[in-house]
Amino acid sequence: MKLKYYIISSALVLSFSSCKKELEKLPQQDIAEEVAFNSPSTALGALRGVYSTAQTFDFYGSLPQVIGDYMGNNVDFVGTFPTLQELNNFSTVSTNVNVATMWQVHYQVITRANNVIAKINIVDGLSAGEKAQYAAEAKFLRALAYFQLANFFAQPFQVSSGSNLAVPLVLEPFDGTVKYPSRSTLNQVHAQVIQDLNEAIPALPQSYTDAAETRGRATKGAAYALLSRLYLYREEWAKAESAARSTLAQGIYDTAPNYAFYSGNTSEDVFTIQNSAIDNGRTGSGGWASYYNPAALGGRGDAPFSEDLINAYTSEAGDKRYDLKISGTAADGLPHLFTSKFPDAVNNSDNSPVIRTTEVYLNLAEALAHQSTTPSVEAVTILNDRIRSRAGLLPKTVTTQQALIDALLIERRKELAFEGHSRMDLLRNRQALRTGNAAAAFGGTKTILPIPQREIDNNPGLQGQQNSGY
Amino acid sequence: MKKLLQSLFILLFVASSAMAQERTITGTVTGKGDGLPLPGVSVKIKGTSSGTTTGADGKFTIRVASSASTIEFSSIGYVSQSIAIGGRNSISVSLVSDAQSLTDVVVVGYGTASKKDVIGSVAKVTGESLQNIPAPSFDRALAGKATGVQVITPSGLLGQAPQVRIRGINSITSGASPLYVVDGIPVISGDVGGFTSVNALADINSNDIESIEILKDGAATAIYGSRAANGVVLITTKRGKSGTQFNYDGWTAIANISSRFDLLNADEFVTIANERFTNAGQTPQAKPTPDGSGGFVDTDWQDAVFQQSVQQSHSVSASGGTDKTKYFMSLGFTDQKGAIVSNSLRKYSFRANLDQKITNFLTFGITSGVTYQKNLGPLAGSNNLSGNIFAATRMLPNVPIYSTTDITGYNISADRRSLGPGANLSPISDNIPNIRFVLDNNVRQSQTIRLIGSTYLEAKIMDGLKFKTQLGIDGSYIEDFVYTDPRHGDGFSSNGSMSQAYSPFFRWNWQNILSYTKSINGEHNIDVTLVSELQKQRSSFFQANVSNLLNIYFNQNITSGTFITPTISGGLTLNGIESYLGRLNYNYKNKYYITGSIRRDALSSLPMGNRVGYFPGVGIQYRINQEEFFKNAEGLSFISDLRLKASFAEVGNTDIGSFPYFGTYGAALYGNQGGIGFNNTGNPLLKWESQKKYDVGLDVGVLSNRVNLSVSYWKQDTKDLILAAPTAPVLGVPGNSISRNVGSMTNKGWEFSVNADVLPAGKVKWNTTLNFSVQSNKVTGLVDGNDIVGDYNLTRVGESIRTLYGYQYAGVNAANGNPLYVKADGSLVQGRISNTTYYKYDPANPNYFFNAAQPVSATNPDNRSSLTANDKVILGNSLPKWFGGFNNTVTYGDFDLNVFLRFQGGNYIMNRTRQDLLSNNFVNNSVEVLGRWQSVENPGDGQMPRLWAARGAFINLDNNAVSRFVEKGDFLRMDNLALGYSLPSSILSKGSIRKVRVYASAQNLFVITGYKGLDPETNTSGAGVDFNGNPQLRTFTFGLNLGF
Repeated sequence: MKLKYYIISSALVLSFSSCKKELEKLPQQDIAEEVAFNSPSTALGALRGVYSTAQTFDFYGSLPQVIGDYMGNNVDFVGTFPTLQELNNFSTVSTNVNVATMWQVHYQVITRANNVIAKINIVDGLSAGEKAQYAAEAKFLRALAYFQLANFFAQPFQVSSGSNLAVPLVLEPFDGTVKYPSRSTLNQVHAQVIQDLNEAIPALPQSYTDAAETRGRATKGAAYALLSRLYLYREEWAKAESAARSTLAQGIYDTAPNYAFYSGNTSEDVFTIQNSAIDNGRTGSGGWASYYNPAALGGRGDAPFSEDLINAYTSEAGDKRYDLKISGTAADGLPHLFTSKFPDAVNNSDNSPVIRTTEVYLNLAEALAHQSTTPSVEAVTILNDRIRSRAGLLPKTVTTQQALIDALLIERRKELAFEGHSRMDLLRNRQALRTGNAAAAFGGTKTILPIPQREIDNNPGLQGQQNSGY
Repeated sequence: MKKLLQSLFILLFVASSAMAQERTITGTVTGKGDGLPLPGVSVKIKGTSSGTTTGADGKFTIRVASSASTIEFSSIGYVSQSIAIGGRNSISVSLVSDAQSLTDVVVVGYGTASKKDVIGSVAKVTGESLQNIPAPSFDRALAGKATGVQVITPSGLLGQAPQVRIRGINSITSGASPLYVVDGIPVISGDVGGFTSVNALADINSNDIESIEILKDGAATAIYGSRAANGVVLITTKRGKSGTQFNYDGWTAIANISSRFDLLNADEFVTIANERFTNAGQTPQAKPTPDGSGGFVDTDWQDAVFQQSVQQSHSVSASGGTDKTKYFMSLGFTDQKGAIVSNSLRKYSFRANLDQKITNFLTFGITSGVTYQKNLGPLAGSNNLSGNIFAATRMLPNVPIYSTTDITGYNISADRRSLGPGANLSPISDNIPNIRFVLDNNVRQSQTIRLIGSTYLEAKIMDGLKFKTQLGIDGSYIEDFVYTDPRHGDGFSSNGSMSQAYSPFFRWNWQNILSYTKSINGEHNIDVTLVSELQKQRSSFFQANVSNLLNIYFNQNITSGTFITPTISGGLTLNGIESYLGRLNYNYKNKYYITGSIRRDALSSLPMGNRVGYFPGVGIQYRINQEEFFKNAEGLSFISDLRLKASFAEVGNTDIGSFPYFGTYGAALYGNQGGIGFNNTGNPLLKWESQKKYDVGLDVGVLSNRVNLSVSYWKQDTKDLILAAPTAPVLGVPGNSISRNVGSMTNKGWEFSVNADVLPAGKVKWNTTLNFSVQSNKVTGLVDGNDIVGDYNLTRVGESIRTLYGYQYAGVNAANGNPLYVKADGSLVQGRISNTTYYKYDPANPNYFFNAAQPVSATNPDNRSSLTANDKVILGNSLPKWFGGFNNTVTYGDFDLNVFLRFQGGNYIMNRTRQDLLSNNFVNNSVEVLGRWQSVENPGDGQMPRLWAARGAFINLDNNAVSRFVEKGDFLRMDNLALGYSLPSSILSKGSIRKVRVYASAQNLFVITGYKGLDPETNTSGAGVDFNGNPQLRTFTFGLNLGF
């Protein structure tokens, strides 16, 4: 009988002794917030997570850039998505789903960047230099996000010198308290972008050991280049010139000898979002290659060349940039021309071009041209030796400041077509997005996007702040 | 073992026979009710330890000393008898079935109880009533068997898990299924298949089930604490009994789908399709396709997706036992081919349950079940181009299925993207593939190995005090596979693809149960149970996907070197629960009962501050018929049982996802570098959904319980429902919402049941059971009171959850064939099909439309209008308000007849399939389209507007609920009709056979309903929506039950 009680009492003791360990489970699928910033490797992971969000379809995964080209005059949108057609027809409504998602994803990039900026200093094991660099990279991406948001959701600087409303500025990570920020003015948003970039530049490296990182992560050159674009948009020519020169002074950028550089991570690239077959911004409904390729090549055939762009290329015979095309049947069932800049419609591994050396030279040339009442010699040299000769065109002789500016804008358009610049390059030059369409005129209410209705509904701070016309 | 014991006894007798004057007594033991011989009855000489047991034929032989005076006969389930020997040499006995002790034992949480002592609302379903039915899983057969338990099988697909709802739907976003416990081990349930449906509960062989207890109210479920809100289903498998038994149960069934769609034939299709093009100002595109022998092709595509199938099941089991060892073993094999093409289920199951007495105070036991399941199924998505119903109902009837000119032998278009157009000028809309090619060539498969088992050690510490420790496991190893053929269909654009996933799930559960039973003078009866329970589970998966296949031969498994593009994904989740609980039952003289229990649960999936909860439950019972005054009242003697019960409990629902409270970073790639990104916003205040259960009931038994009546009223208030509270997108919160405990709802209902032995004895016996439940649901709180709006449903404060919500249809404008709708203000608008614009409808001037090219004037008033989301109204409750079952068993001599009817109603169904079948694309339609408006002279049925190519979405408001397609879901179903014949015992007793029964039965013989779809129980996307669901089956079964 003794034995019986031994067995029973030991079983009892065993069973009622608490097994605390079993409850201390952390998610294995994901990393708990408190763990994310407690080691150098997870902190670097969190930073890469911001880049990863930047790859998203609705950020730099093609949608905003494709919209930037078809709301401009480079692309004819012939696809079937009603929400994208609305944008094409300048008849968007505030419930447009694509607009809502774009807005939301931009703020996701911002929130993820805010997390890194605010929390990087608590990470043990990172050197002060690494902490500063990670924060600087996050600030670069935050600047990119606010700049692109302001371009889409606010009238350009040229409409009212930047005193108009742009987007809410959220600069702190979400701590659980729901806040309702209101829209800041375009000048305030631009000032924040400038501040982020200027704060980032000292801590950013000039380059990384790996070419894919030198072209795919934030660098001093990339930050200066983005500044030059912003100053150009703000018509602060001297600052644009100086920023562009600072990029080129890094010594690792040069215009490529020909047009085989796409997705190449060469000296032509200043900042390029790195995509791969298993990791890219494609969604079920679109992506760079998906929009820009005909069905025969595996694309949707939604975004062929516009008639206007074809005319621009064919106005001078022999433009090699016009060779970057394929013909095929578009989504409207008709034959069209498509760009060959994004050829991989099967795996969607094409990189997303954000800033190219050519653009920096064009920024520099345009800034120079605006600062000199006679044609700037340096700008003409860029125009002819850097841009036109590569395109197989004869040097152009310009006699007036305006002629130089016009020539540069034409080259800019032909050079950067399908990379998302068309709409803003037209608007900042006070031009209509389309000819013969009153809604597309400079300053037209539907040339910019509505604040998403969902945002207005959930954010009392935005009551009465909808863009006019929506 | 038994043999051994018998030989021991014989030895003993031989040894002792020399010592005393002895003689031999022989005899037969039979059952009193059926007169059948009883094997395994213990035959003992009173006052000694010598004895024997009866053989399979009920006969025994025993040698007794001259001093012996009495023999005792005892067997589990029968009342023991003592017979004086006297001078007899032969004694035959009939034992009376101890119905009380056998059938009235009820399994409750962490123990059993006598039925008379059960205070909680527990519905018991015997294993017997689930057997001999060709259901692919036992849970489907629970439908209509118990009050308050609603079982809906959404389609005839074999692997599909039914939706089981106990006392309503008690959550909005979290799980609404009950907790399933098999032999004390909580097990996983639901659909576990990756690419085709697989019901986890099909892993349990219905022939192995002894009983199922469904715990409904607070008193019964509180013991399961944080997991009890949706009720608990306890499944008990068979264990050995004394006496050897061997059973064979087998059946063969022929299954067909119970109803088909009424689609257009080729001629009608050509007429309708061309009318559509003509109305739209386009060239007619449909043309009859010559069939090569002078006629024209007329294909019934339903023949390509439905078939008659043969199914079979065989199950053998052996059980037996002595007073020390008891075993039950079984092997089951089921092979079911679906009546839906490419659907099948093959299953092997094995069970061994053993109980062994080690010493007089220790018992050891093992429960083990192993099942292999292989499920194959079609893609059944409501809106998939190659979804079997979506595609089959759209296939053009004027083109053939097969074609000798295509390399595949199927009729496929030249660009290989869609069905071949035949003589039509246009291909089918939306590039829908030839569905028969898809079904024949693509593979969607799931193979599961499941182990559910436990071992226990039970010790009797002293009289009434027992301790039991039990370690159980539930392991499920699922391999999913899908192959899409590169030649046509889903695999065409990726040049063929395969995905293979492995998803192991493992749970262990350790319970320690201390129980104490004590009766003081028969007056104070006490029963205490204390339990500690620890559970941990790990579930993970990894999946490999390949595309760009090099060779279609390799389509059974991913094979190295046969593809170009691979991708891999995976994930892991761990979970743990730690619990302590106690229960106290007390009654005074079996008259006044009180039970109280409390459970403390700690869950790893909740935040530190909130992971511990206490869940109390109390119940009381008053057995009025035990009162002296009642017993003494002559006039009340016909009442054999009368009791009142009431209970209350506070329980929870933890089926809320793995780590909903955590702010987490998920994996995020950048190029080829691994990163992490903020993907879930934590809410450190999150806790489980909590529920208060109230129940009052009255049980009455009359005429020695020949008739039993039961009535109960229940109410469940659930609060802290987890809902996504939206945040402003500028905060960058992933998903733009935070999970918060903000919702609440109330479910309440009445349950009635009657069980009567109308004819209890004699040549004709008749037992009838009727159960009937009435339920209602009301949402009482949402995030800031805001509606949750879906495509067809709406969840709104004050309404029943997921009420149908959409537009009100007002018929066809007879003047022009445009559809009319009712706006929110009650006014009518007509949707002008020709320019897809809404105009105010004036019956006096039905053809007037504002001319936008002209300025507004007295002669050109602007009557443009609109139809927007603001015009949507509630169209009907999607949850059934009443349901039940009516079961009758009649035996006439050796014949037995079962008639089981099931009914349900009070709900509305959005017949989305019907809406879909009226598409104006270049696809086939249902015959309903023939009632379309053609002209003022030929206005059709008044409901079907004018046709217009590609304007179906405008005409029928596709993807919205519309009153025109919202129908009543009431039905009465002949669920089971079975006729059996058992060979009489007079024949059987000659061989050593105990039972031979043959039967023929029909399942789902007919449904009486006004519903126009295939079946009122079809349920696809969301509550109350029938959207291209697969049809139900009608099965004819022939079976044999054999017992030795």
